[in-house]
Amino acid sequence: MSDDPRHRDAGDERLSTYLSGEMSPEDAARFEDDLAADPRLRAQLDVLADALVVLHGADDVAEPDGLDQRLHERLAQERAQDAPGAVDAGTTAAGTVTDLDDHRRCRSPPTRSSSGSAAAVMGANALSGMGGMGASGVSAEGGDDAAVDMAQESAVQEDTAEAGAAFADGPVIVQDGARVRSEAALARRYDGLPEVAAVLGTPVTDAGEVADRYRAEVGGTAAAQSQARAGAGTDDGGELSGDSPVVSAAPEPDFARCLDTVSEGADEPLVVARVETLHYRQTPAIAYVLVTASPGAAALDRTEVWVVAAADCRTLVFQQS
Amino acid sequence: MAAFVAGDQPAFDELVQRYRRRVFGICLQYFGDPTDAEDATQETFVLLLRRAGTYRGASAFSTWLYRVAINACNDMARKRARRPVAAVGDQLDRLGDVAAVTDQLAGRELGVELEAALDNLEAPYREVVVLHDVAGWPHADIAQHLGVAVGTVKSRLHRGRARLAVSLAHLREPQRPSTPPTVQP
Repeated sequence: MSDDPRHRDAGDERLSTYLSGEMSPEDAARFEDDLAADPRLRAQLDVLADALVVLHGADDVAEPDGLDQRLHERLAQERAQDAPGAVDAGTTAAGTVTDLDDHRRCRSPPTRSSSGSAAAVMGANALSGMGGMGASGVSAEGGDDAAVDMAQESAVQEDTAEAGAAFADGPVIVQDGARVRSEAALARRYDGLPEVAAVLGTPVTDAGEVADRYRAEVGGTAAAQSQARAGAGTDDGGELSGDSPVVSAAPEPDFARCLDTVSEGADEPLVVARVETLHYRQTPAIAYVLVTASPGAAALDRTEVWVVAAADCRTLVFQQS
Repeated sequence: MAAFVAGDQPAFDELVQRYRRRVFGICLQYFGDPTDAEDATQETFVLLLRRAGTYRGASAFSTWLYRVAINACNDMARKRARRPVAAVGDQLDRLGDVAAVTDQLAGRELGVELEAALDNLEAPYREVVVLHDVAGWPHADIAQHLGVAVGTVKSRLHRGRARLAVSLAHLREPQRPSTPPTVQP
């Protein structure tokens, strides 16, 4: 913190914005550098957090009956899902369980959909995004995510580097109904995607146009899907590569409708970098990977992952980094 | 703490036991609804479980936990804001004016120092801090109540809190930033 006496008297407003989660990841990282260098600032931060706990009356509330047990069960579930061999396993239509991590590594880079091209959409394969995407807004303490499977991350970085050129412009749309069983697996799946990297850093002044264009591609995809279904009787499995799980029994997802739902109320431009069908914990779902800007940021600097139920666009998971 | 950062389950379980009620209280103050508060509490500890290794000791653990909890609440609120939710707009009627809310402070075990620091805040800052941090009013409701912009409310809140921090800093002796706990490979 500055030694300016005015700051000492009035305090540093960053203390509050930091605790409130209103700081961009970059600003938070800079603030944490200041904390490390300024014991007085750190003391102010810690005492403010303590004061807020008291002001909130947080230590005085009565817990709901059974919270302990429900929390215990939830954490046990998370641990079980993230245990080796339990994460992100894929189930083919024939019921064979495969390791999707290996499965994805063997695939070609996914084909980006071009506007109105149903064939390109139906033929798209999943790109593995491994590594630890920051989940659910915890940019705390520098934003690094130590819970990363480094071996998987390394393998996927090779994939993404190879695939990067294919994602120069426009959303990636994938329909292979991959099975995902935990939020941690989702975070790994969507970390480090080249289509996301392609739009991060876009100035906010330009992002609206990019967002509209990408959204139009998603809308065009929906229209093309309808035409394909009406004209050809639709055998999507024929367009999928041989090693992809087939979701022939699932109803066609309405990408555009659910995109409207997850975009509703957003103040900043939202660029939809990726749309993908999933089976999330047995529920047919659509995942949207959106790139947007933190409040006040000059450029797109944040990623959101929304997983919604394909049937009614109900939100199942929301993550951001 | 090093055991927690290293992913030691008993250490994590102990933290859950120790801080569960506080996290629920933070989330309850944020949402005003026990169901939402419990959901956010669960999310907070799931995040802690996943991100134990990211705690670097830049602040006290309790500070870090507060921030993780608030971020979990922000995420939930963000989700709700984009979807139709039941109206919660009758808080103003229930809570009345600032004076009535301030009375609630008397019933809480505030430290003498904190009460004094709050009393010493200039009125515009104290008003917003009390409405938001004690009564749990959303920024928008405070703005409507006071007839000012939401941005003004946020600005007053951040400035008021910053002044509180300065007033109370002597309660915590400045400490050297702790060395990041060593994580076992």
